[in-house]
Amino acid sequence: MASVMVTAEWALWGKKAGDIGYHQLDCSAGKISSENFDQVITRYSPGTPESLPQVTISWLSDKSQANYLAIAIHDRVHPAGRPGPRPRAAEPAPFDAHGRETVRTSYYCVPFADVAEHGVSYRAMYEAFRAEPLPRDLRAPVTVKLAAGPDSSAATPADFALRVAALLLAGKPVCMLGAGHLTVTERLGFLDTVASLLPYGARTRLSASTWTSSTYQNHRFRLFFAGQARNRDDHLVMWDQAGTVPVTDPVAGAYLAWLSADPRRRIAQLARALQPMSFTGSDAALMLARIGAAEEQTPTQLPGRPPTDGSPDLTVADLLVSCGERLESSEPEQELKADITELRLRLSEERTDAERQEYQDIIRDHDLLREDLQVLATTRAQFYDILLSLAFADPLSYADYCGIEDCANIQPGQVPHRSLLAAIGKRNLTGSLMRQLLQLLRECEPSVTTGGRLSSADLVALAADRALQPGHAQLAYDALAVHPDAGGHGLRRALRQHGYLAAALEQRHRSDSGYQVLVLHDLLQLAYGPSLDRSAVWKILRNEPHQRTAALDAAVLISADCYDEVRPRLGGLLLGEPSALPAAPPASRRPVMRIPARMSRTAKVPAATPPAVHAPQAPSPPAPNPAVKTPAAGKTPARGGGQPATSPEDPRAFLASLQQHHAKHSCRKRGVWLAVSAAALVILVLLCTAFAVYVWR
Amino acid sequence: MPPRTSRPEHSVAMWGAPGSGKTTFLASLDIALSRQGSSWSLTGGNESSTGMLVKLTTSLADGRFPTATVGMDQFTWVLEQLPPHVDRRRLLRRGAAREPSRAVGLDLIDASGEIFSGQSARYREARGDLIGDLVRSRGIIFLFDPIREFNKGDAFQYTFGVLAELAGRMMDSPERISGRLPHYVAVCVTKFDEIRVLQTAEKLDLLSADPADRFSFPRVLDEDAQELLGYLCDISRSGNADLVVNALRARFLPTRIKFFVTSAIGFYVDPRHGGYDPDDYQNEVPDGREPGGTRIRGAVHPINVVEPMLWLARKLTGDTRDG
Repeated sequence: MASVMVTAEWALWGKKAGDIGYHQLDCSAGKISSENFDQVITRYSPGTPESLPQVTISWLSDKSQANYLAIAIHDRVHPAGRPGPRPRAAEPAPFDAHGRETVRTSYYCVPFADVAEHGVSYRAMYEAFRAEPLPRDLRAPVTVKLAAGPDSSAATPADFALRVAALLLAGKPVCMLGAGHLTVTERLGFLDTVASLLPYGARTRLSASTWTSSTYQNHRFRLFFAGQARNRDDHLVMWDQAGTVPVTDPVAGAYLAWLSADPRRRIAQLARALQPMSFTGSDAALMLARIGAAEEQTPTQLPGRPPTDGSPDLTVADLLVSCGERLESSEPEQELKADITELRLRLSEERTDAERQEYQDIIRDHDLLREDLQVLATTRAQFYDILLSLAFADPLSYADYCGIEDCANIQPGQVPHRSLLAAIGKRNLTGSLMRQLLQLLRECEPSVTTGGRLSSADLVALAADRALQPGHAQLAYDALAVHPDAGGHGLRRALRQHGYLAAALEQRHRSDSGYQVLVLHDLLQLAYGPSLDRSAVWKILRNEPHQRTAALDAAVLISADCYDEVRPRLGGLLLGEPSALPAAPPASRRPVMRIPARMSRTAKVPAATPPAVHAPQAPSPPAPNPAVKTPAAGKTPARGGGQPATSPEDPRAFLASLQQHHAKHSCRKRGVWLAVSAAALVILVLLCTAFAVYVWR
Repeated sequence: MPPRTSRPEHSVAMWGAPGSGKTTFLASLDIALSRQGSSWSLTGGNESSTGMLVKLTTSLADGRFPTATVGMDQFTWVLEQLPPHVDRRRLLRRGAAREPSRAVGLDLIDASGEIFSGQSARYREARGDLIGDLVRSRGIIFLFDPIREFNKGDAFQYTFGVLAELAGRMMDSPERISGRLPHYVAVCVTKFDEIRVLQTAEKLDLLSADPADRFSFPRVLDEDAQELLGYLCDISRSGNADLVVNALRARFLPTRIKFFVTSAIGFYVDPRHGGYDPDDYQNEVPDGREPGGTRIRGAVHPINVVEPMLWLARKLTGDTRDG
């Protein structure tokens, strides 16, 4: 049998004696860095092992964009260890610090170019590398002789292997079930068979595993065996049940038809298709055109596929997907630059909203706007720039900016990383909201130099904009907290002008009244100092011409310099502490704030006090509630304890009622104290008398 | 085809440093329920989850610790409380109503401890998945390993980063309460059976025994658990362990945090005497057959393993009934 000598780079993963967690123990000194090995081993992990050994197949590329095929052998660490005078420092231990059995992962990768010409199978790699235990002296690479040609089991592929190969072109991972009785070599043989039914170049993006943990939901294998299905949208294929594998995807269906026509001939054709390809639909179409399938069948004239003349153009979406795949390799610089050039040519084309949305989805799914792209800063800047140009309208609106956050997988209010912020800054902006927000974001990013600074009035105006998302509003609040204008007239005026932001807060956080109160409390403290005096309380509670909210009332209560004993109780309520709840059911007029009945403004005014006395300028009282009996004609209907109520819109009456409550409460406390003292005195006198009588006798 | 199950309503995540005992805790859960004679029982929510339940439980019952988790396991277990058996004739005669059964579906997330580390970039993708699952969960079992904290002192490293990312992801969540995360957190001080932890509790005079416990195992009451944790934090190698508790208190509602002192394998019980022996209680011993390995010496008697899970289950379902 023909063979080929190849040199493989390697890494060893496991635990040393005394270790608790898994980590890389050693790796070869070659083109692939230790960090790259770390990434690829954790990325293609099969999860907690259920039986050993197992084999996983994956791929990577190095700094010069050369592709590698990789195979990882997961096995026990045999206590006997390797022969030799003493174990190496990197030798894995069979048990970790907690006495748990460990798994050693021996990872080998070979240049794709070295094996592609000879059609080396995965099984041949497994057989050769398992005889080469790791680690190696002096971190030297492993040189082995690999059998050339496809695996013998691939010569006459079963019908369902054809179907599985076709399904791989349908985009979803394929999960093989019911094959637990097979040996690892047999399962690896099946993976080889399926791989032989795809162009050899597809191995540059193929990941597969002879077994994965069924409870590891997030593994990233494209083709894998498992005991049970995971909760993911995988194609499920029962072992050896060809009839149960429906192939409904048009691309996959056409490919299956092409394969089924003459499998042996197709395998030979596919073994010669060495051009690297991914598993995207466009790459599949391109691949079929390359290998000449289009001449015999019509897979390139599939629904949704552009007609081709042997070299189909890639769409923008395809190019974006391609960028995502290139960025997964260790050194994507050159390939990404080529894609950027290609994408730039498409900038002049008209784009519909649906297309933009599609591009945004791809950018988000492939995390293309992330910070840690392994490319030069200039390339990164160009890349972000082109992505924003393709996926978003010009000029950029606030809604577009929210879309960018979504695409960049960052939360609203989280400041984008510096490069992305710079790319956004280069775009034309529409609306003052967007301009002010961008300025605020720049101020929040310390490494970005900003021309000016938003005034406190600008920040309040920004936060008052009802269109602003809660996270962005939080940025404005935070900026206000450290603004030099804090405590100044400008801030007070701006807050007054925008109704202390109460309405905007209520709109954004309707279900979280506690949060509204905390923000309002902080804002009031910023503007008026640690405590509000009487005139400030009166002004804020009037809040004309804006709407007052329950949260604003509560914030004033907390911030006012009187009623100290009200504050902790109210604070407790806001934090949801049941102990702060009153015995009686709350009689609050507004459901968002749980103010207890005896503290609520409707229950505080004594029964004999008509509301008009306290609120001569108050607006008209609310209509009487027909469900509540009116104690006397002309009086406001009572709530809670059946007492007459003042107008809830009258801040001064409210204030007066609170003062009365405070005074009454103090009196009651004083009375209790006097009673206790008197009782103690009486007891003392009695004791003294008893003692005197005892001594006298 | 195997049945697919929809995501259960209640998701509980295990959180702790590598080797803190997350998987062992889960493995001991069914044994603990059986030992207590509890009316609650555990079943798998789907085929893979049942497989996991059987694998973990049999491993521990055989005296072997479960293998370390690689990546992140997710499975669905259902805590089910069956009503007591009622004699049908008596039922008819007295006209008593049959009490309905209760079931709480728990979507459990058991991630390899390394993923919680804030220092390693190699787990970036897995960490993203983990945070996503924590965002969806509403119950957390946070395992604090006092032995690891004494030897390494890195609990804060495995807590703070994930906590900050979780808070960031939930910044705009309407479920936040007064700006705090909405999760219920059961903080479990693990490895109570370990000699240093037991002696510390004894020194602090925090040990008590349940009169109804036929083995008379020592316990630390839940109300004393925080005090023990506080002392154990003081002797952390890095001195940062107190920051763990402070960070949890800062991010979650204090009323939604409860402390427990637990042991997944419990104390050794000599079959000849049939009770706890204060001079011979070590249940984890070196495995003489495999150098470096450990094994469980006798029967597994989990301590305070069911309680945190039932507390979370009750809180998540809003159930106030006993049992």
